[in-house]
Amino acid sequence: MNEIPEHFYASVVREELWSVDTENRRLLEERRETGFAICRNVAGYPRITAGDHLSILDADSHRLIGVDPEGLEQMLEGSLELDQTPLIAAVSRFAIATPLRVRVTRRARYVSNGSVHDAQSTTFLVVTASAPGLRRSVICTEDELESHLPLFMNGGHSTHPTTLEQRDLPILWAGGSASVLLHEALGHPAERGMSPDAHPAWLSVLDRPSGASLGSMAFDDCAVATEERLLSGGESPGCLRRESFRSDPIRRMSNLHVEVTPNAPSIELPERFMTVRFLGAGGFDPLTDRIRLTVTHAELNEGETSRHMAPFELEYPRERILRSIIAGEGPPITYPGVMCGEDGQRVPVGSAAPLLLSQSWRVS
Amino acid sequence: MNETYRKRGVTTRLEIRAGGAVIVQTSEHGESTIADGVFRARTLSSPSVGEGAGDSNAVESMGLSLEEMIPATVSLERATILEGSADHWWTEGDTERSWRENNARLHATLLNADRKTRISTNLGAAHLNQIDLTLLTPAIAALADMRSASIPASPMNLTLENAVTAELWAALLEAILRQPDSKYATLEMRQQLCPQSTRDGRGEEIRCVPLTNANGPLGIPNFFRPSYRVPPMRAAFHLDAVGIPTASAPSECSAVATLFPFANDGRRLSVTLLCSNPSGTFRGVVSMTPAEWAERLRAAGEDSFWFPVDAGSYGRRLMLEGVEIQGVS
Repeated sequence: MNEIPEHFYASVVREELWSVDTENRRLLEERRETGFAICRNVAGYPRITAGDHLSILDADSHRLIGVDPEGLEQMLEGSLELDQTPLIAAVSRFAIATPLRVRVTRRARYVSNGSVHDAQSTTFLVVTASAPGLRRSVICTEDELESHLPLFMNGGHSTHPTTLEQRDLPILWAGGSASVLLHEALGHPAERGMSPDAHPAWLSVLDRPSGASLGSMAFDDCAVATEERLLSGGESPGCLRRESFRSDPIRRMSNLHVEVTPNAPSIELPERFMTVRFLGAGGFDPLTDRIRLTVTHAELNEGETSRHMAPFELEYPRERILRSIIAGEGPPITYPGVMCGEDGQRVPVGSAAPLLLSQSWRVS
Repeated sequence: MNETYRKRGVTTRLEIRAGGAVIVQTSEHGESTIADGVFRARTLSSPSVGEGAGDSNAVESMGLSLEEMIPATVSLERATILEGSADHWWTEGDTERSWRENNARLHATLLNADRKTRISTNLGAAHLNQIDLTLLTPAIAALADMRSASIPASPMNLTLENAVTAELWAALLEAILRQPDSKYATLEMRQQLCPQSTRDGRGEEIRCVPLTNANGPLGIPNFFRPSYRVPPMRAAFHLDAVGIPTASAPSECSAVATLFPFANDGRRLSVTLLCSNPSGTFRGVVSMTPAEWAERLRAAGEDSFWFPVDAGSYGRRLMLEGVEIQGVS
């Protein structure tokens, strides 16, 4: 953490939580927040002075800010004054069988180190459906709403518990869900500087801050220009990110992008396997080097038939998981993103991966 | 019920992670309202810097003291040390309340990497100089000296150290609330007084009241509001229990820390503990119904200590008499 460069950070956040069904849309919660932070490298530990008012800034701060702070505050707040109602109305079309909770976050951010200045505004939604046997969330940008929500809502569910034997089946990681697997098995270890191993040579896992996904940014939260990093080649993600102005920036993924080379083994599906489409949670424990995943939408495939599986958990050693990946094909598919809560700070991470096939984790 | 709550506060915290540390000084002034069923929160963005701001020397000094306590076989995975003060205002109709609080916290995660063991520790007080780091000594010593001990034959007597008891109260109260028909003949859970935290999230005085009796739960009188950004929620403050018989014999085996939090499957309350005895340490699972936990508790120490578990919980040394422990690898 001694690597935090000197910088100025400002953000304005507007967040709303709605209850939505086909007939009614009700606002439950609203939060508005303005904040500033100045980070300086002084004798001893780096020091961040943060607050929700401009009086935290001293004369020396202005060399880092680069613009008039009061004008900046107005500019950031102005960028959030959008009516959310059309967005909520768009979501309500998908609340057919199950009422939805929709959290809309609009965030405008400015960072500067005195010579580099960058302003950015983003909007993302977290849509959650809950019913017996069903607990599913999708995270996406405004632009991804029309493409992601139908996938999310069309999945059926089961109330029959998934057996241990069923959890041992080979897995087809569909709809970009392999990006969540590799977020945990390669991304978080890379954030900690752990060297990658055990994954197939035909698999490339990148942290790609460019593009238009959830975690895209030209400059990170410390005003450093972002760049692509090859995590499967031993690099760490390049971005320092923070949840809010109160938080200390830490090394985090931006958008996890998975590719397979043309010589990757093609997928040959076994007679019996499961198709994983959505995951509800995941975790990597660096102490035990194990991965834990909560699968919220999967199908059991047997010959020509398939049926939905109830949500279940998987936990296995990371090395075994990476070694189990035996085939992959096709272009990366954008997965509804991940709200990553590593180290106590929640940041949205974009995710994309092609189809991958893994062997049973018990025997591989 | 339409209410308005404002909070203005300053904190200084030291964040320690693998690879380094940083000092963060924060000052905030925010407001939340609940009106017509909608919760709204916003920053008020008015100056409040300086008044009662935490001392960065104090957090740095406690960070050093913590690191000095840690032997070579143990590493600090993560720590947050903070000190701060806040002024609060709350109004509803004609009722107005205002109060001030000082808070200091130490949250640390410690590892014995060779033995793949992690413990989390939480201490709290009004000021950092009131935090007693020696409360961590039993857990750190056990984590450092992880010679494998054979698990004593069950049933056995097991002493629960202060921090474990503080977590037990929170889990046991939740279990009693979830299973209100269960009977707990010997145990009465109470909300106690705490000098550093005398008002709840709506400015109401926190009183010493029984929360349960032999027939089950009696209701939760107060509201917890850890931040102006979250709606207040019903919670019991400063948990403790009375009516526990005194232990008749000492125990050679102590549970010094929880390795995984208490888990309630609706029938049994289970916890994975780091235990020590004169021959070494072992990991063990204790799993009983809430009523069985209550029946087996015996008082083993006089002093009690406040821990920042949920809205506060008092831990003291207790014994579980005649308990079955399942070893885990």
